[in-house]
Amino acid sequence: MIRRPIEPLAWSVAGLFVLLLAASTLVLASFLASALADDWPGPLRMAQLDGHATCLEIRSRAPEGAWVRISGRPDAWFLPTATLDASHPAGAWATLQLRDGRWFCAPQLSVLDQGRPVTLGFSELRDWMNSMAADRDRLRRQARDGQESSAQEYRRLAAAESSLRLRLDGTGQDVSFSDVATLHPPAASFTARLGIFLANLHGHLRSPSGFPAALVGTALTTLLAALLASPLGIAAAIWLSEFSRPGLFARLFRRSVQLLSGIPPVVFGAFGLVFLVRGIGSSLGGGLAAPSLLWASLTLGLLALPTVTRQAHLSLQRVPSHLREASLSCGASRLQTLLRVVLPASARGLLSAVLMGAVQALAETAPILLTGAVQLSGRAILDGTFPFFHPLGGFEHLGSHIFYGLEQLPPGPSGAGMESLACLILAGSAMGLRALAAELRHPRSPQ
Amino acid sequence: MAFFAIGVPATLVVPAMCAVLIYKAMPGHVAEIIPLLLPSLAIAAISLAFSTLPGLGTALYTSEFLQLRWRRRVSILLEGLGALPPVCCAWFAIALLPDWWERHATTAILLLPLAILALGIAAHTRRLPWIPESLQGVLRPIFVIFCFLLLFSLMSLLPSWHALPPPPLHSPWGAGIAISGFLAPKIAARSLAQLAQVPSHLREASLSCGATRWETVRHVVLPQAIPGLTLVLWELFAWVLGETMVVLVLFGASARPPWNSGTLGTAMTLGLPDVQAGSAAEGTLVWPALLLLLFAVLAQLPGLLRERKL
Repeated sequence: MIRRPIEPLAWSVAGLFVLLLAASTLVLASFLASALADDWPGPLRMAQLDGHATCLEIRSRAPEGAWVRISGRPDAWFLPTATLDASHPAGAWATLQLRDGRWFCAPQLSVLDQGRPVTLGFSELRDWMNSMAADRDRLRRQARDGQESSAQEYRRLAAAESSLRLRLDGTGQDVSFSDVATLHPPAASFTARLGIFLANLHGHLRSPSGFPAALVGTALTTLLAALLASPLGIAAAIWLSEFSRPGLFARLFRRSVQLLSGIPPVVFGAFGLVFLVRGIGSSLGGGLAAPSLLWASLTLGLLALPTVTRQAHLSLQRVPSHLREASLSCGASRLQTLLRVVLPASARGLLSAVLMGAVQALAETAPILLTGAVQLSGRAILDGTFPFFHPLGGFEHLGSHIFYGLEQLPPGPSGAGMESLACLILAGSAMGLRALAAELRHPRSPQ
Repeated sequence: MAFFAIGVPATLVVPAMCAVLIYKAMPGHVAEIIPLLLPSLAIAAISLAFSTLPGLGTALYTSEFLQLRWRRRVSILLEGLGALPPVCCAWFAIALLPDWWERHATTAILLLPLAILALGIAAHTRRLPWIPESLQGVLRPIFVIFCFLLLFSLMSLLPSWHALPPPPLHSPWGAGIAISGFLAPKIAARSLAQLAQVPSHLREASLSCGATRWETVRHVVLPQAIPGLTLVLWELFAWVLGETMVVLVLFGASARPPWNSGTLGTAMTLGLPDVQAGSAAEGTLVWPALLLLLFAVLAQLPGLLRERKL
């Protein structure tokens, strides 16, 4: 039997390989975890804050102790100075919001009927409250229609209700029954927590935080940049590969493309600002004189152009020359050969080139910060007002959303779920499109 | 044919870009920007130092040791990972990493050689002892995951190294390490392309002469690939000099004017929107773009010389 030699350096490269893949996976997983954790309901507990009892959601995994946030205020994490009530372990408690906006919670609720506690299950209590509310509404309607007996009944019911109190078992608190605005069940099961998570997420997406606008801005800048770079880049690659004669000009052109693809994106941003916006835009005047989505897309288009040209040129060069020769020897013109032979044979490579250009436009933030991306533009790029598309003026972008989010990063265990979600979307789409481009460029070899 | 030539003038934007930037930079004072060159070079060098080994190691393992059916998938995965937007890397470094960094960074750095070796043995060992042949393929990933768990628990069990505090995140070290997060897969993907250019018959000849895989890598593949790999690193160094978002986020307010801190990229991103068009201040802030352009040109030169030699 041949003994395999011990190769520590081979082990080291294998270890580096595993570490790199694991670290990249961990980075993506942390985006996902952070995006989910912020809106995922945590355990609840009552505490005295500024002399008032309130319900707190707890994250106890921070090194400083337990971070908390008040129920119903999902963005504000803080370290409480008051000692939390430890008589009951924090957990999936039932929560209720009063009409004045305060939140209370308890492991169990009971009704104090003339000082006598009646313990009810949550569903029983909710059914009872719903039936009382239905009775009250019915009697109020009937009283409005002039039925004296109903009016008396309604007054009797309202008086009985005002004397009823809800005891929050285990917290020493009780609240008036008529002050309760909403009652939420304990999120004990996974599906209940998922429901709360989705409701929180929906609330975030509807809030004027700029997130939906950033999604639209990102999609539009990427699309416009790809629309600008793709035809020009592919046309240039076709000219270089199929029609140019080898010589100084073709060599200069190839070097120029190669050089452009090695220039840092921020240089394109500076060029976009000082030449496109302040040079061309100022001479045209009007809304074009200021940074805008239009100029940002144009700058990103210039940034993506060399990538598209280079990759398209490489994919055209990969088409075997005997295919061209066969077509030409059959009497086809060079244009016919291009349209019927070369382009179909390199279609996957050309699509890959377009995707790579789009990824470059999608992933870079520095050029758009210089050419028009703002924190909150306060206006829609797409709306129902003619001409429906408004490319002039500042715009939101996922990259700038993350950047400005970092500048105002709230304290706490997460507190920035939307930025993590933006990271996840931006990184996921850039990496996914890039991997798709690589897949198109390296087709599976036939078995 | 004339139709396809429409793309040519648009791509010949380099001379136009140079001309515009030189014209705009004329009223400026380059001396004000020169202090930023050193931090830019330092951050680029640190990021390259941290990402070169993982990047090259990954490329070497994928190209020379990985089974053929996995090689294509991993190369696609590496290209995908290389497209991680810098701003996301910055977000990870500033929002998600600090707690872990404070508690475990020193221990993790000290354990790194052990981790690399343990994971390497777990991933690379062809046969695990005392395990039936039919279970070898299934158990290797489990063995790797077990090694990871062991290392993580070791990291938590070991005491904090207060005598050796971790490198601060809000510094050139932190920025360099954060940049290496997306630079390493980029190096790996581009090195993989360079390694693929080494003719496979050279490898086959070496293996058929009785050399091991590592000996083939050491004595045949690397000598052939080193010029190309050096070019890759040199080009990425020039590209990373202009990296802006990670530094902008990690340096925060200290990267704002006057330009005592930050890099060439941050000075442009923070300063240019606020200065008046055509002013001397604008000219000063265009100089970093010219310097980065100059470095990009310099980075292309070895490639051109090598091409001419071939």
